[in-house]
Amino acid sequence: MEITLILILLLFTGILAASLWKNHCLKRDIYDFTLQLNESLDDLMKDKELPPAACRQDDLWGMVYEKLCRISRKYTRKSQEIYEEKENLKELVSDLSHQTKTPLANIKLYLEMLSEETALAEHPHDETVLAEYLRKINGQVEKLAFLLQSMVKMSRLETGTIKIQKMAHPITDTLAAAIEAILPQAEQKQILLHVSCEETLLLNHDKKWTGESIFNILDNAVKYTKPGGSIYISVTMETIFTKISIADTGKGIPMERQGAVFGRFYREPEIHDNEGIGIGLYLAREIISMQNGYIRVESEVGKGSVFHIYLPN
Amino acid sequence: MEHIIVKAASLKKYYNIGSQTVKALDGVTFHVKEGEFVSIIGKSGCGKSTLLHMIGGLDTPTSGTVIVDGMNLSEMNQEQLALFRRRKAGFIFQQYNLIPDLTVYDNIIFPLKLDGAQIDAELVQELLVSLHMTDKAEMFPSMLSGGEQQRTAIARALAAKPSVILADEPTGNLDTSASHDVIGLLKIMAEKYRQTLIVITHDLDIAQMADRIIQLQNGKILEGSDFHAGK
Repeated sequence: MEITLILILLLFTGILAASLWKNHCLKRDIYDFTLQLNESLDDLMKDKELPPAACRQDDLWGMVYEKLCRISRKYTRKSQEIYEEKENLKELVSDLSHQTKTPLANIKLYLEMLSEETALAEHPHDETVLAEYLRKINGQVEKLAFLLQSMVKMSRLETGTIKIQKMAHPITDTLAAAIEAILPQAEQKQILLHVSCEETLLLNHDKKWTGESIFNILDNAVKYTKPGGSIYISVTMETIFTKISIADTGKGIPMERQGAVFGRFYREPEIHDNEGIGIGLYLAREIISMQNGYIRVESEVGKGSVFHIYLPN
Repeated sequence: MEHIIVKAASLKKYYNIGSQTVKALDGVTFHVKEGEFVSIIGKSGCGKSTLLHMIGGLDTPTSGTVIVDGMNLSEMNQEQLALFRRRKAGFIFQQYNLIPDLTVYDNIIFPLKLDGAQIDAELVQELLVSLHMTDKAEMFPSMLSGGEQQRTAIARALAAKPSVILADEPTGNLDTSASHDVIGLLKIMAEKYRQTLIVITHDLDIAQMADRIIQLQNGKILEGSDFHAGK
């Protein structure tokens, strides 16, 4: 009888000791966990980037630390991005002022020459000279207008003030609008446009901006294709994407520049003095990306380039 | 200053077959920046897959180091490597490697469940929508086309939000149209979630969608092949 009582007593003390020990361990674990968490949070607050854990053990702290690391990285990346964006903006402003300076200076110059010409009262005015000056001024004004228009478009896209409104439209309408806009330039260079597209094809897209994007690509195609060349436009519907391909017989883009052409303010080195500021393809890609699509370029120097626009159905 | 996420330094992998030594990789060094889309091209047998396996911690190099997201893979033991693969690397294989007894949805969340992580239902739903798989979520892999299976694999790789996604010939079993769908979606998704993406392919058409192309030949990076492609 007594023995059983002692045994039970022993058992109870044993259980008690074990549970106390377990409690202690648990407390210690929680304490350690909190301490580690606190330390990492302190680091985060001090803007210190957490060192990526050399893959932690498969435990709770490992998981939490992993997430903390991600937050930390995200945070540093964000500030990095903001910094880069700022630098970008600086560059943009300086580029813009540089670009607008030349036409403005030219206009001023022509105006001065014009007023000098008209001030010489004794001379009968040479009408052709005056007309020439006016034409030149007009050209510069147009350049300026084009520049500002592009800038407005870009800033509106970047600041997100325009919203892409996707609606099911026949893609032919959008294509037609873009082609109509490019036709004068193409005709001037005697470039033939070939289009193959099913007229009934409906596509969920933003009509205005997609048209702009297509126009920008066509504009480049015309610019880089020699007089008498051809541009082929085709539309094919695939399972997820509808592909709009624009192929030209222009000078092509070397492999190493195929990524760069989509950059902001990118100019082909050999045409630096031509009209344009190098945002056409940049805008085109932005617009397509905003609609969850993408642009792919295929090109061979001397043979021509194909720009494929993929838009989700 | 851009963050380098994958750093491979003079990677070598030699196999001994009888008395012959096969050099699958012979001193490969390259970096991948965070958020970059890099494609690795080369003929079969040039060491492409071996290289990818090294980066993913599926294989260990004979010499050289791989550092992914600040972690040196050669210093890790098997258990840590398993953890690394689960949390840091997303794999997409040519054969999709989906589990046939699980539905599309369960396949996608399977690695998360393995990790004991909470399922971000919102993200999974978003992935399904973006990959055009919403109506197929309850189907089994055998009921899907190749392209759909691969899209499921993409969702699975993305769901764990890994540091790097490694795709080994993701379009190897698909026709041209499905290939463009898969690789296009992969590209869009990687951009959307700022994922770093390394794709192995022998198809130049596909490789050109990357920001950068690296060409491998006989276990080495072909000089001057590290150029920028169509971003």
